[in-house]
Amino acid sequence: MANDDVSEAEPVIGFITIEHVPELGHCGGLLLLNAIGRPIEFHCTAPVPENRAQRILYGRTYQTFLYCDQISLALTAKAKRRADILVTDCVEIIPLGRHSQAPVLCISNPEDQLETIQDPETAGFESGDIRFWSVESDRQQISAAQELCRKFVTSLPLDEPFERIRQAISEARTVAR
Amino acid sequence: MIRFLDELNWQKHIDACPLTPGDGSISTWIPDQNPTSVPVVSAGFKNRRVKIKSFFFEPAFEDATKRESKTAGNDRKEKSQSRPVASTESPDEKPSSSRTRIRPPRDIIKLDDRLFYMLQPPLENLLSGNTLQFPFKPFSFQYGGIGFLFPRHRAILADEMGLGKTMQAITSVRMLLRTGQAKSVLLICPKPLVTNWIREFALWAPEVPVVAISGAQHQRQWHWKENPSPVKIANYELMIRDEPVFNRPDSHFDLVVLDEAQRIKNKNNSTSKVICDIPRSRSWALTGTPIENSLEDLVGICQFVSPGLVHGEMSPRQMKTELKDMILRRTKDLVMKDMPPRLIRDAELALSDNQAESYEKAESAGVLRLNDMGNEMTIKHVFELVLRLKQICNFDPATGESTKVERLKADLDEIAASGQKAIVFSQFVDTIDRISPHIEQHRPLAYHGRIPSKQRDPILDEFKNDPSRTVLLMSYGAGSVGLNLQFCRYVFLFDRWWNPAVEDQAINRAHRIGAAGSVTVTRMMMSGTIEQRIHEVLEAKRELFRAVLSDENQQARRGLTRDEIFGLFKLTTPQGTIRRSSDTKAA
Repeated sequence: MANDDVSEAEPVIGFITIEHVPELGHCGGLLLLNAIGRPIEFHCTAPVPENRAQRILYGRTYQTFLYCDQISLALTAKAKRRADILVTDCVEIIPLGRHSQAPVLCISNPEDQLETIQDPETAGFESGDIRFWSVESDRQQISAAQELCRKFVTSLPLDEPFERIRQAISEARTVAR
Repeated sequence: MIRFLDELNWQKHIDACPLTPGDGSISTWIPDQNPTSVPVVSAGFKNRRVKIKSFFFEPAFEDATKRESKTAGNDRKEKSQSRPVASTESPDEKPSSSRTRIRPPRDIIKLDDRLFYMLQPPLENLLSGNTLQFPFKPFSFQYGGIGFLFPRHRAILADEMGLGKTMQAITSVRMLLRTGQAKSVLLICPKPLVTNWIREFALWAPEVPVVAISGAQHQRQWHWKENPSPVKIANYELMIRDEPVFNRPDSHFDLVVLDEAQRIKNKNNSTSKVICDIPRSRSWALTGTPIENSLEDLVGICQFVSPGLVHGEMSPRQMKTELKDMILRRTKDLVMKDMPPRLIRDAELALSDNQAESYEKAESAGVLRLNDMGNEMTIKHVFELVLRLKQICNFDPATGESTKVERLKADLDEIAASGQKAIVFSQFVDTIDRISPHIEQHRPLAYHGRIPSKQRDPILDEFKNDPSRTVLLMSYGAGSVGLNLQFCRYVFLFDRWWNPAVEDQAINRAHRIGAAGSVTVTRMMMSGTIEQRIHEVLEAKRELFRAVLSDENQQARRGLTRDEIFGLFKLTTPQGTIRRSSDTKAA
């Protein structure tokens, strides 16, 4: 439905985040937007409960395993349109960049999240007024991503779509109940 | 562990491995095993399948834009570029910090449909692109109103007068047309407001073709049937006449908007019935006064918007619950905190001796006559007496004396001296005619029902632009709705209307967005007369209105306001008690 010829060539920005739902688990949401912020696709997961055995096994990397390997990979695999860039507000999703063709940029407050990032390959960089974090390999594609982000940011702040995702996840859960 | 060794048959391996003297390396103790023979215990950590729900959206706003840009000629491009634009943000501008979301109404059940609205960008962004241009930047509460109307099939926008219901409705219509969700829109308004709507469409949605249905029967018929304009504007009066033309099985409107929807408050009158029968998908009602007299007024409007949802037997609380998702009401006090205040001044005057004599005679004779009528007495007879007494309160029929006019003259002199303008409202055209000679020095203009429609706009233009014209005399009937007179800072209610909503409508001609400063409203009433009794009834009606339409915070405000505390000691200014409008409501 979204794969019409006209819009195929337009840049697509993906926003991916995870919402913790108390007592149920973690819900992931992926929202694909066009360059001016209109929705193209939305995918969300059912709550994924934490697994105690996995938590013991993976230790400190469990959160990354859950957010990135389990939820985010499943979400991106479902998308019909390929995102030119993936933006997240969860540092645990940064390693997704190693598995996806699109660079994964994390918007974050460095002071708050610096300690959380354990990956030595993860590095922060500035683009305009925005501070991003990504894996080193993604930085090779960064210039194109920067341009895309800059265009997007003129109409909407980069953190705005996460608000939509959270509301949509909440709505989907309400309807599911 | 023992069991584990057993499983590996460890002893068997030891027995099979002879100890060779001199070979003390530990390696000789390790059995030479075939790797395949080692049993492996596996714990599978294969990823569980994560359940995913997917939604795909047509980028509707964008596509509509493309369609238009493809079809629009160069002329239109040039026109739109030359138009002054206030809200379009240049690429260098920072995005708007306020975020008004389109929230789906309760009656949208399907998750896909709900998410379609929820996942749209904030309205500020949706409307700030290059494709939707505005002459002025809307207020944030106006975005809220658009976000309310746009997704709804059934809606009542009941904002207080002067908050821009027209602009909110036009922008919502514009968005529906752009997204292809509506192709034919019918807007019904009072006849004097048709030109106002056309003007507002030209201002807020210049690219939308609009046609006013008017003229001879064959012309109107052509407009109804053949005119391709997506927006048709009709007046209430012609709906009955033209019913056979538009109410056909093959005709259908995607949206019908009623302006001043209180016109159909009586669900039994023929206009209401005809309008409720219009084949349509969406029904929106715009009114600043959904309750004028009783809850039945609101039931009448709901009969159009959502038939059967509410009925007259419901309590105000039940009705409020039922309509919660369908009705949006904001007041200036709530949304425009920096708007100039509205000062209500009750001028309680005493009848002159001659007026008092005439009043007493008329009242006693009238009451006697009503008593004599016995069972034949009807509401009409009582009403006639009330009107008679009200007229005497305005002017003594024998001598022409009027305390009100004396007071009005004094006030107008002061207003004119300060370079301001005033509007004087009366129920009676005859009263307007009698006031006029008394205030000749202010070159008053009159605007009422006896003046033909075509002559009315020039009167308003003259009042606005001629500095020597400082007073406009208006009848409630002709001048209480849809007019923008915010350059006036003084309003006089020479006599009182029957319900507070119409009075508020009148006051809000001046007290609305763009008001130059505080608006002083003088409500004239004669002490100890029918006017004072009417005033008490009006206050009771205001209370009913609040019970259904005000929000919880307003209802909870039961404490005494500053002026109420002053009022306990009957402290007044020389001009009478002064109260802020908000306090008046709380009283």
